Amino acid sequence: MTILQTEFNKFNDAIRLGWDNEEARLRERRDAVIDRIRERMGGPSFSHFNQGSYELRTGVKPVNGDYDIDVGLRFNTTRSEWPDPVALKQRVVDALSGYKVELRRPCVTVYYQRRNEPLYHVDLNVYVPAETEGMLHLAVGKVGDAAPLKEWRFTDPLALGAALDTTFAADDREQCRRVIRYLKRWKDSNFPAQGNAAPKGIGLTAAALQWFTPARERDGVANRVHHDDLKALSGLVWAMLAHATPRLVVKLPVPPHDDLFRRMSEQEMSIFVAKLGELDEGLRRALADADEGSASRTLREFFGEDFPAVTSSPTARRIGAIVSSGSAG
Amino acid sequence: MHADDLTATAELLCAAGLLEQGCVTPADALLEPWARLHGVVAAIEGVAHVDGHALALRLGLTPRFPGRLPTVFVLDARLHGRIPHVFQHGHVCYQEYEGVLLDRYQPVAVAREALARAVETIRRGLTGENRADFIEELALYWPGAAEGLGFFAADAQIQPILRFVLPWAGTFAFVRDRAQARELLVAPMPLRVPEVMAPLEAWFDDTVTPGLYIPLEDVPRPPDPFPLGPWTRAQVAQLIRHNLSDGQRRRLEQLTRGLKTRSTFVILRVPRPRGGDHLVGIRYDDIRGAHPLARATGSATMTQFRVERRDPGYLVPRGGGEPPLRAKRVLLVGCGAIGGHLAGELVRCGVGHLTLVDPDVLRPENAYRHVLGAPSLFVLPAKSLQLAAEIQQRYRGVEVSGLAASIEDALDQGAIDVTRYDLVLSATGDPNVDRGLNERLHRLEHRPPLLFTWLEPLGIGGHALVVQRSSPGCLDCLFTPHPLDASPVLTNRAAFAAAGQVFTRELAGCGNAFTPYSSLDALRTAELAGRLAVEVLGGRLRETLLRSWKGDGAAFHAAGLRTSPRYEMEASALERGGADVVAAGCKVCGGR
Repeated sequence: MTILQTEFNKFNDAIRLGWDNEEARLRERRDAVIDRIRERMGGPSFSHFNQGSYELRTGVKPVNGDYDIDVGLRFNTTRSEWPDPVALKQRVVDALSGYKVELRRPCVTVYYQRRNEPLYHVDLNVYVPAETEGMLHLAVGKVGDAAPLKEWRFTDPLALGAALDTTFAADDREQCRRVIRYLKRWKDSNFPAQGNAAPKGIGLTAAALQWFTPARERDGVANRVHHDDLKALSGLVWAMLAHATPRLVVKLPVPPHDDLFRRMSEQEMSIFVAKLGELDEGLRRALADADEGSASRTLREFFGEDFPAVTSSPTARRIGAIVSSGSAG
Repeated sequence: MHADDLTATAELLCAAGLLEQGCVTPADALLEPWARLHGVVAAIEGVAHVDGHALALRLGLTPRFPGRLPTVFVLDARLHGRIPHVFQHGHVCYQEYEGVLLDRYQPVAVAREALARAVETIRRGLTGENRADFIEELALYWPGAAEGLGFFAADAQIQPILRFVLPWAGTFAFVRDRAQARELLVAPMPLRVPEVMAPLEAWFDDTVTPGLYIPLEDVPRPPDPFPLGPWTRAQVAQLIRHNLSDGQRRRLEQLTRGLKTRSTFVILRVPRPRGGDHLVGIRYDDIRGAHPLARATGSATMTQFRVERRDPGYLVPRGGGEPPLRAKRVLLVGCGAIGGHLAGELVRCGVGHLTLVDPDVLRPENAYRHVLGAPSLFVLPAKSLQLAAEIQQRYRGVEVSGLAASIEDALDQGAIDVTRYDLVLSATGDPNVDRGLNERLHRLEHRPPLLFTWLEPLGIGGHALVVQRSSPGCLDCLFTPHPLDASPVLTNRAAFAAAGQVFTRELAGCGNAFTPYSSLDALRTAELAGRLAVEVLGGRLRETLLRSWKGDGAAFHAAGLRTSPRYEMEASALERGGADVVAAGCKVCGGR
């Protein structure tokens, strides 16, 4: 039976957004954009907060190099003062003149490019406070949308993070985050980036919140708990497949309780489920494989080359052959 | 308490009506032998009614009263020595002092209860209820002085034994045979060369007398009347013959036939009704005709005497050890700080055969943490040999041998056959030696239980692991990382010290590195391992088990060292031990 926990840890280190590298640059971009809006917008005033994978700490490095960061702008105004949500979004776009900026239906996106290749983008989500304490209304709609498509949508953008915090204990939560990252990297490696063919990252995150079960073992002698990411990931994928009847419906656990995969067409959904089936089969094959080398090759088919290939024997991988024993008699 | 105060207390006791017609004993009576012998400085006397009889009693107080029991005397001389627990001067032994707690603030209550107990003892004597106590405490009633030390094993068989004079003790020794006598004679001799041995053998031949050891099967009733003072030859012969089985009687007849000496002796073993036994002696001199115990005519003088027992069968249980461990053989590898303490403790627990293996000599640097202390200035024998000699000298009847070799060499050269032992115990503290031993023994089909013990630096703790065939796991399991450990390192999973630190210190240059720990750390580890060993040898523990003690960590942390997650576990859980030692993927036992 294969475990490959060392490899999963390396894989996680390779794909996660770290505070010290990409995230730092993203933070700089974010701060520059927000400063610019504050300078130029001329009211209403707002406060900002991180949201999405940046806030959940489930972000992965994009395969195509297009890093993103989700920022919420909480405007100190009301729906009644801004009956047209697109009008407020347009004020944000106007304040960012000179940037490559796009007013999209769910948000305002600011792009940073090099030779027409996207490097970073910052998604600005425009909110006004709701009557319920802590809840917000999201400005939805774009220029030219018919009235029914424009709305102030009741939502709680921070609820997912809170749910992750309350559902799992510390070490299990970290395993849940790692497993979400693995799934997101699988998604990035196996689906086209454009359109709705790929399952949304938030959908995979919500699925994990719903069906993830920690896989771990306690070493009673050393008084340590060791996590088994391969088993946990396999368990989650199996659970997702079991709920695909035939569509996989994963609802946001908070208002507005949307099905996060609702935009996928029947065909897109069936491809998604089929690929999920392949992943499930691959994970099981890796779990049952007695040879760590071939198990790692199986996993690389699904997760790409950031997943390390096992070439040497496990003993050779252990470091420190001469250590201080600390024993005496 | 001051004598005047005691007199005042005596008056108080009189006033309390402890005795009828009670009065304070006159001062001149307190100069008599009964008072001097028992340290009585104040007393009251009067009458108590016992089973319808009015008995004159005296209650004496010593200066330590009420922190000590008062003494009680029966004044009627006709009862002295006639009933159990009433001795010379009518002293009534109504309560053993050992194990008694007294209410030091209530002298009257202490005296009242003491008197009540004494009266009850006398009542049971008068009614004959406690007649068996004569046998229970036969050694107390047996007249005569202590004449020697008994070293032979007091078992169930009538057998010839020998008596000789121990030259330096100036007393008799009673031994099984010539070999045991030789062992005693040469024990204090540093050299065992012929020049030393020959005079000792000659001494033995000059002073030896043959005799008999006779274990009585059971003594249901004491002789009636119970002999007061010296017994007659007939009374002794009767006690023996009435309490032997037919087989023993036949054997006694064989052994008493054809006596050639003028003097002989008998050591009698008398079972106590409440468990245990007495050894008492009878000496016969000026024998004319047959053996005084033979069914034939003859004459002899008879003297009774007492024996001080030195046989392990008596001493081991008396010291809290386990007699069944006498037959057990233990191989102890490593005679350092832990092994040194362990060797002695195993013998004190009752282990009868011990082999010590260690190639090293005692080093002066370790004097303050080794049971042998500083090495001799003259000779430097290996620790194993020196320790074996020390133990052998202190504990006669235990087989202790030393082997000045490493365990690897001893096994390679066939000097040690581990299958001959009931337990192999390694206290080397060297994980490399221990892991080698673990692997080597694991290959054997008939291997004894294997116990490893070691400690960690600066009082952080110590460990004992027993590996047994009946349950999975071995020492190497502790060095096998958990399969899910994402960053496995070479370490002992049982360690209290976090991995990746250096613990040794150096006083000088190369070859002087040492691990800092104290004798108390070693002692505590030895105790942990010793208890585990005794449980295994006693058959009470049949599984593989790891037990640890953890210290307060003050010195360890002060040295800037870090502890492991295991150190966070409850001390009681660590000491109780865990059987979940086994590790999947262990290269020695395969986790099975």
